[in-house]
Amino acid sequence: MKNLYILPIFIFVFSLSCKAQIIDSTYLSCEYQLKYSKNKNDILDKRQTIMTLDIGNKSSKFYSEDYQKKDSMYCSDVNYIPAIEIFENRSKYVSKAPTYSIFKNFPEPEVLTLCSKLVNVYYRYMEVSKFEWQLTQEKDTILGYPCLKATCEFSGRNYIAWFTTEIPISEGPWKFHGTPGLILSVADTKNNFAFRCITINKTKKAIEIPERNYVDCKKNKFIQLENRCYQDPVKFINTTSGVTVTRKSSSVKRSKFIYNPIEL
Amino acid sequence: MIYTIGYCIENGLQPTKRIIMKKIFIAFMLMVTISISTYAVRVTTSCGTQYEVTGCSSVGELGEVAMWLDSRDC
Repeated sequence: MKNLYILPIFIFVFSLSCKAQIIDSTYLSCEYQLKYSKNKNDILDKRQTIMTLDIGNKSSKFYSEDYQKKDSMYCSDVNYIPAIEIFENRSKYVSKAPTYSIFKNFPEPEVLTLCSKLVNVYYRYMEVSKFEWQLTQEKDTILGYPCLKATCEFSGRNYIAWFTTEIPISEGPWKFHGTPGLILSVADTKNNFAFRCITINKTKKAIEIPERNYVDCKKNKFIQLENRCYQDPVKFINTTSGVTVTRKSSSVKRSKFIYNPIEL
Repeated sequence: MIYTIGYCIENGLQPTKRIIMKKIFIAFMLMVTISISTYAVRVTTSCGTQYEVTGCSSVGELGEVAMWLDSRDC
């Protein structure tokens, strides 16, 4: 009988770690197609994924809906479903999309918070990033919106952005912001990372920050960890946890992999 | 568990069913943990790469490592 009381308490305590904190509500939601080169040695091998930008009155969130949905599902199912079963049905939980979520103007104005997961640890860092855009008079049309061109340098890459003053919101994909209108397209000059808006919807939904056991760190430290993790996941797992992973065989033949980070 | 039962018999005590069940449970959990951390588990990702994983402290940790390898492999 006692167990009947203990079980719901146990489930409740574990489910707390999968909850989310509502920080704002959106009035505009945009989807961006992200095309990127994962391997510096093979720039032509492009990956693509859909990322979402939820814009609220005070803050915004840029993330992969696919990753977030699967991570939340894993977070709740891991307490009830045996790990073997989870691994067997891993397509339900594994997302190949970027694991980061970027919250602009959170927890305070001008501050950006990035949350990301590396293997089984959630990391979080904050930064104040400023983009010094050079505005030009060049014009283009994206999704029917007249756009103007702007250029800037950020974290070792030169970017060309197209923004529209018809949506006078100083927002954009990833960490980009600071233009007089919404950025609808932005790519670095080497075309390693390109974000292009594909849908714009007026929607009202909550902007949530998943409640996880985040490890707070400095941006530089996180970038170092991320580079090590993506460059050689096996070595990273072997050196940062008590787990030992050995690659036994690979059916995929690929060119030498050198991780291509967005921030250099 | 054996020690507890042995102790009870030596001292003329009747080990209660509850104590025995508790000890069996602890022994089982220890066996599972030791098995996972000692033995290598072979993980095949959806792209066909095989990894051998050892030293996981729990089945959950093994699952997370395996899924990360799967997500980053292809």
